Formats: sequence, structure tokens, C-alpha cells
Amino acid sequence: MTSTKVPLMFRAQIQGRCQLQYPPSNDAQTWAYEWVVKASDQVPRFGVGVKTRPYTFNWRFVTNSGQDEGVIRPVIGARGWPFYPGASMKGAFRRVCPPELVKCYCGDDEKLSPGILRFHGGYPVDNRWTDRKRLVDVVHPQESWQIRHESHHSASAQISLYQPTLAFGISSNTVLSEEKWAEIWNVWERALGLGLGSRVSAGYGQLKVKHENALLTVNLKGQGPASMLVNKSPEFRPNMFKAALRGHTLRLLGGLTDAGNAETITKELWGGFAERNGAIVGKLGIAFDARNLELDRHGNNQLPVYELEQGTLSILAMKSLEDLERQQLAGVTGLLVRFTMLLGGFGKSWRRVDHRLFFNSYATQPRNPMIGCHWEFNSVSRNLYYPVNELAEVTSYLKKIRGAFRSWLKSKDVPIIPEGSNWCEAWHPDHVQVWGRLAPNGESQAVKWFHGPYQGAQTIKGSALAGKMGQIGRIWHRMYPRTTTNASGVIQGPNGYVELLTIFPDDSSSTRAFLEFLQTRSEFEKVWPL
Amino acid sequence: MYQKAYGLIETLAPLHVGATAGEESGNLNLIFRDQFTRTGIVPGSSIRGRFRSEMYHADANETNYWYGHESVTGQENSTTESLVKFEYASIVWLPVFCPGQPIVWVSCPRLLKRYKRIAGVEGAVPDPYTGSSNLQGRESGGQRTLFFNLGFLTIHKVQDFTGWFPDGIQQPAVVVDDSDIGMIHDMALYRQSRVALNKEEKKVSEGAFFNTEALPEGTLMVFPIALRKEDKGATWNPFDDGKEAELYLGGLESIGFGHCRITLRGI
Repeated sequence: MTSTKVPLMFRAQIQGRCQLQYPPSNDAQTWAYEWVVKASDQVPRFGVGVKTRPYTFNWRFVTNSGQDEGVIRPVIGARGWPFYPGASMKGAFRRVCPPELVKCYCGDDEKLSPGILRFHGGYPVDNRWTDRKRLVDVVHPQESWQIRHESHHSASAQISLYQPTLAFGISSNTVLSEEKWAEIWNVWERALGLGLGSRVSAGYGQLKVKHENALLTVNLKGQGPASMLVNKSPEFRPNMFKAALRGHTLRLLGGLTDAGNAETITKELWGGFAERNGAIVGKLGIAFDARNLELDRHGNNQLPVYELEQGTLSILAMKSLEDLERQQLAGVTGLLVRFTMLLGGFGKSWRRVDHRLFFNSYATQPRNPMIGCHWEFNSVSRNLYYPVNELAEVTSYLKKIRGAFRSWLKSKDVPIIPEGSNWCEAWHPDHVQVWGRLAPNGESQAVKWFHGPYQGAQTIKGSALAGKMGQIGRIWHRMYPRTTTNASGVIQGPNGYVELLTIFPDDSSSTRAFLEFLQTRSEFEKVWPL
Repeated sequence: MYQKAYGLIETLAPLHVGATAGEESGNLNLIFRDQFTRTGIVPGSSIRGRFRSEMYHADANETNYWYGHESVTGQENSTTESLVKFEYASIVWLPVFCPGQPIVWVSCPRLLKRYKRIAGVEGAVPDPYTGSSNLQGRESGGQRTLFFNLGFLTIHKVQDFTGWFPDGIQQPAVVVDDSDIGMIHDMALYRQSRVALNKEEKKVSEGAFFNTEALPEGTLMVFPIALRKEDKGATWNPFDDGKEAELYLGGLESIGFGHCRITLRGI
């Protein structure tokens, strides 16, 4: 026996011993294997008299046991089973319990008298959690790479449970009526509505229950390339919605005020790290409920793709808000969702249109990779589309969004800095241009320009403008479903598309030539800034 | 004069019986330990207190008869002797989960000797480093090795432990030396770092951080009971239905700790 046979769970988190957090080391995979392979196959059972109810999580569930520094891994209980501790359960329950019931159910802090309820925690109801392909979860923050075009970005691993069903147990030391129990479970479901465990603002620990704290609920459908776990298995990851909305928050604010203020306000909204002062809890979070979701593979490289027929994105208030602020934030998040849908998309490859829809001859070549995504509002949320009778309306929508962010900042006494931040993708008239055309027959003109010359031998393919592997381009391309209003103001469609190019120009000659081409030789018109 | 009986405890949830931040200052909540083996115990007074209060809800007079009458201020000789006496509960078998290894129930000769004395188990106490006949280990060079946190454990011989398990079902088990059990016990304890979150937002409250330890669920313990024979011929019947009950022992009950199955034998 040598030290190399010591299970990773008992090794120090240092290079050469165990680096759970560092995906290339593959330690997380081994760690998960060593954990589950000998965990008991016996499902934990609650004792006599404990009332239980099972609940299934929408996506992933993560709790931090705090046992290894720098790595998030679950609380592991007897015989190797992960669980949600009773103490955490009591905390979550207590927070939403109506004040008049707290003393009876959870105890009285002042008199130090005990409550009648006991919280037994939550245990998986079967051993599906042991699918170790799913246990290792990779998180990959890309904000500084995507918005500031800084080069450093790296993924880190954590251990979380994939779509587990947990049975939660509560018992009482006095006999309670059925109505009382219904009331207790009702309180518990309100607690579940706020999400359990860590990272709830990014969609972790959310359940299919009513979210009383929803500011906005949007019905969507979409398709595009799916994320891959380290072991190459595909996964549809709802945290991409928060990433997109947070990113656009930064872009829009970065065009109105300096970098420091923009980051502070973004962290106030979506949470983040405050360096020495620990972490900031954001005001907003998301929950995503995917229905009719299919995962598939595309082309020779077998890259995973998703097709989502119906999904519900909820933007949640993660703190209790005053009415005025609640209204303001509902407004701001509504604009963010519409801005995202107007100019980009969600998830991987969101800067490009879905090539299967708009460049089929490219997409059907098995050698070609999958590029782009496409998102639409479902009919229930159709009124969230900006109707585009004429192209000029896009200009006013963009003005309106920026104007709304400006007045919101003013109302918060945040100084408006005319030149904005110096980020590459700051939403500032000096930094960005939006070009558009109507595409009533549904065909994209611009998609071909990313793959070949746009005029003569002139091309943007592989340039700083269009980007390449390892380098983010400075152009977004979107086919926005076009709705129109009839004479009486009723929304029609969607019917056809509005083709939009968002360009953050650099000062290279090829970019100047391309902008010149757009101006003089293409159907595109500049719609922002005007 | 005394009737000898005993009780068995099987923990169904982690069991924390300790002096909250007493022995150890700071934010570490330790469990009570036996001073020789350094393994967890449940004091006789804690068991007695729980039994007494179980009966008290049903019949206060009966309780005073069995557990003794408390002193009444101003009345001489108002106390009576308890007819039923409890000693502390010690571990018989402690489950240890090791990733990459089987779950193993561990004990040592000193603990088993006590169990033998209390429960009258036949046969000699197994030697240290004896494994049960159903124990899996990593075999190489004809040696069976188990991994435990701070070292490896070589199994010298194998024996049928069926008689050493109170329910007669042999679990994968190993007997280690008296000097080793303390360390293995420390490693097997249910240990958690705990935080309290702010009421208003999901963020750790300032200073609300503590560690707690508990015996893991699946731990088997034993405690002796002495019943003083009385002329009346009344029988001590601590539980409503028969000789088995699920009770809560120890602290942190409201967050799911202390749920135990207690079985009485010999009453």
C-alpha cells in the first residue's frame, strides 16, 4: 500500500495530493467515484411518526458542507448518503414562517422554550444521485472575458446533485390535526419557493413550486449548442440565463457610468464578491423550469445540442423589497429580458444566429460545427416582443432602454458619466453600432459574411471583428422574430424576422471597410446610435 | 435483590449528547466521551431523564414510584429511592464510512467486554484486528487490508461475529485495539460546520458559526439497567407497547438529532 491509494476525500487540497476544484486534474471524477462506489445502496428511511414529502429539484442542488476549503461539496451523512441537514431545513422554514406561528413551531428565542416541530432533514428517495457522470458540476465564470475581453478565465469544479428528489421529514412532539399539518407543509413549500442550498440566484436548488417572489415570468423556447460536463455529457444549464442578464446589465450600465459604479450596481442586483468584505447577496435571481426539452448530438464531432419547446424563466426577488423598488426592478428586468431577446440569445454561441435555421447548407455539412442559437417568446409571452412595423422603431426601443437605465441610475443618485466605462462591450454610442434590415422571407444575408467574402475578396472571417477560436469577436448577429401592430394596435405575428448586427468596432482597416460596405452596398441601415 | 436488565440503543439519526461548549471553549460542541477509550457515551442520567419524562406524561404517581420522589421543600424524608437504575450507554459497534471502502462497523475489546458483561454474550472477546467473516477488504499478497483515515489496517484473522451483534445479523465489522478506537471514532463521527443565515438575506450572520459533532446514525450502544425487586410484584413498563420504542435522546432534537430506537431486554 502506498499513499497514492489513500482515497481523495482524505487528502489535502493541494497540488499533487488532490485538486478537486481544478477540472483538468480529473480529481473530481475520481473523488466522486470513490465516494459513491461504496456508499450504501440502502435508501435512508425516516423513523416512525415522521411526516415526509418528496420534492424534485428542477436542475441542480448544491449545499456546501464546508469541509474542504475552496471547494464546494455536499454534506455527506451516514453510510455515504448526501442530505440536506435538519438545521438548514429549520432555518429555511423559520424564515418564511408567519410571525404568529414561529414561537409555537420553532421555539421562542427569548424564553428559550422549544418549538413543537422537529426537522429531520432531506434525503434522496432513491440512488439516482449516484450517477457520477452528473455529480461533477463545472462552473465557468466568463464575465471579464466576454465584456472586458480580458484573457483570463477558467472553469472550476464543484460537486452538486443533478435533479434529485429529496424526501423532507418533519415530526411534531404533540399530536396535530390534518389542518395543522397542511399549514406546516404550506409554510415549507413557501420556503422551497425561495430555493434551498447555495447559488439559488443562478437557478440551483429551485423546485417546481410556486415562486411567490417572482418579479417577472417569461415563456420561452429555444435551440442551440448545449453545455458539456468535463466527461462530455451534455447538459442544459439554467444558470446561463442569469449569466446573460447579468452580462447585459454590466454592458448597459458600463455605457452610462464608470466601471466601478457599473460593477457595484450589477453586484447589488445580481450578487457577487466584494473582495475583502465577503460576498454580496443580490436582489435578483432566476429559476428556470424546462418542459419538453430534448438533448441531441450534431455533426461529426457529436457536439451536444438542445431543443426546448417550452420553458418558464422566472426572475425572482431574492430579498424582501419595498413596493417602489419592486416596481423599479420589475421594470428593469423586463427591459433586460427584451434587450437580450432583441440582440442576442441565451447560452453558448449566443452571438450568432442558429445556422440550422438560417444557413442550412452550412449546418448540414457533417464536418461543420454547430454555431448559434435561436430564442423566441412563446405565445403566452408574445406581448414582450417589440413590434417592428418599421426599422426605425428599433432605434426608439434602444433609446428607451438606455433612457430607462439612465433614469433608474439617477433615481439611485449614481452619477452619470458621459464617457462611460472603457470596457470593450460597454453600451455607449461611441463604442457600439446596431445595424438592421427587415427579412420578411426569413432569410439571413449576413450569416454568409462570417464564412466567406462579403464583397469581392473582402472578408471579416477570422478577423478581430468576427472573432475566432479563443478570441471573442466584436459583432453579434440576431434574427429577431418580427411582430407588427395593425391599425387598431393589435399585435400580429411573429412573421418574418428583423436581422440585426450589433458591432463594437475596433480601429482596424478591415472593420472600417466592412462598416463602409454596410453603409453603402448593403440592405442594412444603421439604427443606433442616430 | 436486583434484577439485571439492559437496553440497546440504535441511533436512527445523529446523536448528540454533550455539554454545549462546556469542556471545550469556543465554537466546538463536543459529545461526552468515555475517559479511557475516548468513545462516545450517553450518561445514565440522560437516559433516566428521558425515560422518566416519557412516563411522567402518562402517570405522575407511577413515575414517582419507579424513579423516586423528588424532595419537597420543608418536608423531611420526602424523597424515595428510585427502583430502576441506569448506567451509561457505551458503544458496541460504530459504523465507519470510508469512500472507496465498505462501510465497516468497528469496536474494540474493552467495549465488547462491557457488552459481554451486560448482555451475557457467550464466547471469548475477539482479539484486536479480527474481521467479520463477511468483511470485504483489499486483498493483496494473501493479506486483507482496510483503509482508515490515518492509516491502514491489516486484518489478522477472520471470525463469525453473528453473536456479537444484538440483532443477530452480522454486519461487515472489525475489532481494533483499545488504543486505536479513539482515533477511528473521531474520524467516524458525524461532524459539521454550521452557520446561521441572516433573517433578511441568504448570507451568514456575523459570528454565527459553530462546529458540532454527533454519533453517526447506525451506531449500536448498550446500557445496563438494575431493577430493585419489590414485594408488590408490579412490573416496570416504561413504554406504551412492549419493550421497544423510538425516543429522542440528547440535544439538537429540533434539527433532527437524537432519534433512537431503544430495545429493552431482561425486564
